Amino acid sequence: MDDELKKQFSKWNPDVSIPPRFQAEVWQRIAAREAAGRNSLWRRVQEWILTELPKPQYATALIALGLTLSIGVAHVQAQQTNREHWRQLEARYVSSINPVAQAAALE
Amino acid sequence: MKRGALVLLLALVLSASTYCIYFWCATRTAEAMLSKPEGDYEWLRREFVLNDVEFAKITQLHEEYRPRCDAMCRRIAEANAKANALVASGHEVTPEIQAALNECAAAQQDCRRQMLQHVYAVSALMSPAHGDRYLKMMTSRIVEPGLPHDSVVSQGPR
Repeated sequence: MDDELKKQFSKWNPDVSIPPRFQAEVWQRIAAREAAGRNSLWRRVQEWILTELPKPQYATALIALGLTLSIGVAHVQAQQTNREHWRQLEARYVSSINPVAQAAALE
Repeated sequence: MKRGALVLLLALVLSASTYCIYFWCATRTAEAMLSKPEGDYEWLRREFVLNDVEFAKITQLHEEYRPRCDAMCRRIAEANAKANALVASGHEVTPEIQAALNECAAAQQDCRRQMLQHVYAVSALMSPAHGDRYLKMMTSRIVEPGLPHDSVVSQGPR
């Protein structure tokens, strides 16, 4: 079966003409893809980290931004946690003076 | 690359540490109150901005009320247990079941009355504005538990 297939292929002689500048166009496309890869966002971020971030003004700005964001997020989350704790303490106090609730908890 | 990555790493480490320290500092008071048995008294002191004299009087009032509260709790639990046992063993409302249900209702009513007296007494020891708010909060939670829970909102941790 393989031999038969090989024979058929050896007889097959397609009449295809390669367009002019075919190879040059292929290389142009490859170069364009590579250039697009270089300009991708991630690549630009990497380059920025490489070249710009070590500069004191950018480094300081990034650290200040990080600190501001972390304090902001921690503040909001701490408020939520405190509110929850406050509700639990309130419930504990109410329960401590409420024998009906205490009896219900015993059952 | 090395210096840029180092700056990035430093920013991340600093941000994470700042988050943890800030969160710990901001929540440790309420956390400590929650872990202590007397945290509910501390909640009362802070929530209603009690001064030392008010707080001492209210604490004493609570200490006097606590044994009565425990006794009432036992009375309600016993009445409920008796009524539950009778209801579970019977198939119709007998005079015994009726009496047990009446005892449950009477125990709860008596407890609510004493609790309300205690709430009035505590509120009277506070400044008028805080006393009013305490009264509204407690009555909405205890005396009229059917009221929406956010009808009187606590002012939150300070």
